[in-house]
Amino acid sequence: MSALWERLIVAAAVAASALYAFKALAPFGWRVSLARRLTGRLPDRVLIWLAGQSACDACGPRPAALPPRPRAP
Amino acid sequence: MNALVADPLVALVGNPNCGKTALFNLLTGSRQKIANYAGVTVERKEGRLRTRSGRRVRVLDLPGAYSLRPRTPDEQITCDFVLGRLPDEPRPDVVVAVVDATNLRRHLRLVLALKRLGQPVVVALNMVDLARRRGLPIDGAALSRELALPVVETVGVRAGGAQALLDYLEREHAAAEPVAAPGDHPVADAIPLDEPAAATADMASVAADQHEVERILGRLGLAGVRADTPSDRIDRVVLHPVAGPLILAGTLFLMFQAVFAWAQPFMRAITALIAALAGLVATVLPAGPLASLLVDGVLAGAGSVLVFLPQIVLLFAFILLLEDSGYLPRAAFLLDRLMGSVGLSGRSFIPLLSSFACAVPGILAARTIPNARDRTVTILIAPLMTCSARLPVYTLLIGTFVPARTVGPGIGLQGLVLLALYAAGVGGAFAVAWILKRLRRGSALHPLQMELPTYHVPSLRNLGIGLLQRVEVFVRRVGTIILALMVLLWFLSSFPVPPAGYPGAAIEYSLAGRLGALLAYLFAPIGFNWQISIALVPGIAAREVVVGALGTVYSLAATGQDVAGQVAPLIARAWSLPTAFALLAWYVFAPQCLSTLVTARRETNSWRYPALMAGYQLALAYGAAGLTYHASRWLLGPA
Repeated sequence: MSALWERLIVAAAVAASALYAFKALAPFGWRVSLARRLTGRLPDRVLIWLAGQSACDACGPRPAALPPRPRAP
Repeated sequence: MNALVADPLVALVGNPNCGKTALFNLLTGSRQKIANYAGVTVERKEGRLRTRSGRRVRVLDLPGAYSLRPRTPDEQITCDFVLGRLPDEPRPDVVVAVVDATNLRRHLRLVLALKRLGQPVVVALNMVDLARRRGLPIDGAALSRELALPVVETVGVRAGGAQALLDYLEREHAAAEPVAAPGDHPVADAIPLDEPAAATADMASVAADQHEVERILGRLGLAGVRADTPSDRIDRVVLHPVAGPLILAGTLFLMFQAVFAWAQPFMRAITALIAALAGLVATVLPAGPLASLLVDGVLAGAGSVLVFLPQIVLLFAFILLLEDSGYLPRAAFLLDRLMGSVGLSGRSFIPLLSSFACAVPGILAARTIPNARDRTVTILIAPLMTCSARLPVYTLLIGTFVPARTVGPGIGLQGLVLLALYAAGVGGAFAVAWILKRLRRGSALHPLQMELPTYHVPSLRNLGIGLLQRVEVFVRRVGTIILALMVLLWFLSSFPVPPAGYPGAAIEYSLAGRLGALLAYLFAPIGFNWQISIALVPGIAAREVVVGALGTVYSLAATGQDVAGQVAPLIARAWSLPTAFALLAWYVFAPQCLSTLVTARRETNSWRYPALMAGYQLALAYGAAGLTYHASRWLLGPA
């Protein structure tokens, strides 16, 4: 394995860990705010996961450019 | 609708577990309608029966209640219904007070309260067959004379067991008109909740009714007679004023000894597995950032937390066994007086016991506490109970710094220290509860009433399911948030890379090393070095993370052949005994993890209480660690 690949894997692991820790620990408002900033840079599914399920509820704040909000049951 | 109102309404009222629902099913068969009372989640069960003459009667199975002084939403509904205070619900034409004939001492109190309302009341003396089989001299006619109320004998679980009640309803009430519309009656016996004067009156009323019950039982020849079931015989020992607390203390002592003694072989096996994996990674991958991430971050961090899985399994095996056998409610009963002395009630026991697993379910379980003040105090002190996340920290430090020797026959010093730490957490919680009680004057003691279930042999299936759930939760936590934090900590501890010729360890040059050096100013007075200071930061996310963090920090700081997952020998060399004791004291009161704070915020609907919780715990932890450090230095010397 080349040194470049090794660094890429490590960087991806660190970035994924940071995102996961933020998702697990940060308050809802912060998560939505970050999801808004990352809109267009990460897949929509990841942004919805990051903001949390409540972002798709009728009452929750919502990242600006995410797909249309599912209809509330 | 009018036709419905014209049918007489019979309400079944009784203590929980008096056989009321069985009687309701016997009376109404499948003609039942289940809904909720308006605006609450309390179940409303209504059914219909036809008397021999063909008259229809509506029957309502009200939630179980111990008295007409409501303490739970269920009791509130029963009380409001009987008093005619529920909107859209008529007052019943007749109240059937269902009592358990095997336990008249407790059940007759509610009958006396119902009688005072002045409504038609008939007593259904349920489970008479069981009472007679147990040798109790039950006499329905005599009880009727003493209570001055009609009494019918019923057996809710036998076909035809409600015939006497049906005959009575046919004779006395089937032809009657409804007595009143809702709200027509004065509310005589109602008291507002959570007011000290009301609670005091409540206790006086309970005492007076109990006195009257004893008089009636005396007249019936039941005063000294008690059913002699195996559970009763066990309870005579387990709930004995002297033997009971000793048995409880002995059980807890055995539990903590076992956690240390029995888990060792499994822990050694996991440590060996982690070391083997680290060796494998070092063989397969060349030295570099990826190998360091896997060995020093993943295996040293998450692995050193995973090693405590056997102890957590053992602790929960004990708790689940005690719960399934029926012993835990007895423990709550035994501790009620102790809890009362600090302003709590036995109702706080279950939430506090749940907090030994994790403060989050404990805080959620506090919803069952009816008194708002008791509930708030229970939520505030729940994080002081030693949650399973502290166990890895305790066992690491005790295993490293407390010698594994016996101090008596079968008594290990390490288990004793662990028990003392748990006791210190409980003691701290009680002290805080006592202080809060002093700060909030006017709070009253609420008497504990609870059903003691029959003892039974624990189900291995239930135990297996419960343990699997715990293992799943722990392993998932290690594999997700702990792993993520360990990777981040590894990154902070590894970068920036020091220049060639840097004299110290690489971690000292890293971001984490610099942060630790700053924090060390704050923590140095209580004996913590910079490595501990770094480890405390991710420990705020979850307490057990501190063990993994120490593994990562020391693994990266090590220069020899130290193997990932072997934190103990590293800290044994680096820390003094006072420092280790200070860290133990810190973790008895350590500020709780973020999820606990968020749960407390949700349950109290305010940031005030979580802020108070974090603040007082930080102060307690800092104070206790400082005191322990300096006292240990004074006693043992600075080395």
